[in-house]
Amino acid sequence: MPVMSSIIGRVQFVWNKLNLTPYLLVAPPILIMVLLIIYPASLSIFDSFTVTDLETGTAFVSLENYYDFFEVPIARQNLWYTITTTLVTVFLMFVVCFPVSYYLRFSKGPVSNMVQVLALFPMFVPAIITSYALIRYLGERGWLDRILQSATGWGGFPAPYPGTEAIVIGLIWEGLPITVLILTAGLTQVSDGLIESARDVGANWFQVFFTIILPLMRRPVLIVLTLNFLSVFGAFTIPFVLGDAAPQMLGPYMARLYTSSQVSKVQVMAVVMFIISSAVGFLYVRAIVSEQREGGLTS
Amino acid sequence: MTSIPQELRDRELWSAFFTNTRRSYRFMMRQDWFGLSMLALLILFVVGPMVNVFIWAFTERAGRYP
Repeated sequence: MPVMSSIIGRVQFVWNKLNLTPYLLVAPPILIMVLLIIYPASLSIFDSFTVTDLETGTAFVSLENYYDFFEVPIARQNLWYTITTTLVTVFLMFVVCFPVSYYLRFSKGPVSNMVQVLALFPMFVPAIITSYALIRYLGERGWLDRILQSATGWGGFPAPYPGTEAIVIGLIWEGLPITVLILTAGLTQVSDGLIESARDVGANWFQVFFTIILPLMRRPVLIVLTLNFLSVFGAFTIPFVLGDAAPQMLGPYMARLYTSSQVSKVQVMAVVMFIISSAVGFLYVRAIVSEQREGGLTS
Repeated sequence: MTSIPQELRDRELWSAFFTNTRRSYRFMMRQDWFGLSMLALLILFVVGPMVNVFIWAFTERAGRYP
């Protein structure tokens, strides 16, 4: 028994000295990331830069896959279409959601509660249900067409489905809750004291907005724009269901190429998407880190 | 003392009810026009499609098309 207790004591001593507990706590998520994300992504990147000689069976490093991909006009067109659709969607999402968040931050009452409930509601609806709901709502002879026709007598409603407009509306619908939540959280960090002092010295609401709220909202806005960019750029369900057959966003286009066994092109596309997403993700990480360093917006 | 007939009294009360309701709604509209317009837009674009889905789901199960 004394031998056993001395071994335990020694193990405890070594354990305390090495202080391994934090490393053990972070090990499972890091392990999962390495096994399920970093390893397959590295394999894909490696494969995209190698070409196998069919006669000898030897693999060598080459940019041939990239040349093959960028030579195809449809691939280039789809890449450009994805980038432009993403930028337009992210911009419109911000334009739609910022007034909602601003209203939720500065208003209290039953109307504001109802607006909040409705703004957060899309969070609980799966993307496939959203897509079918929007097809029947926005499509030709859909509900919106009929509502407009019966209310105004105007029968020339241009149905956005199928097409880019439907994708943009669907993605805004899907991204509404998270955007409103982040922007409202950002606006909540702008202290009432700052606004009240500005009002006390005679600033009107426009001055308060442009000189206090907007500068303090720079970081949450950057965060929301980058997060929305990443989610919209890699979206699949809504572009797949609501979009045209051509041009396509990269998500559905990749799925189509993958099912037609053009794996090397899919890998190239994945690497291109990864590079673009990393560049945008860098902005997000920088915003988060600088916020942590400065200790929040108001302190 | 002249008594007011019941019918007239009802009509006046009824009209006063509508006048007050209208007045309070008008006040609310003036006070919270931004929130109300946003609520209307959200009802049109969030509730609209979802109501559509519910009706569609139930009527299709019953074997009818909406």
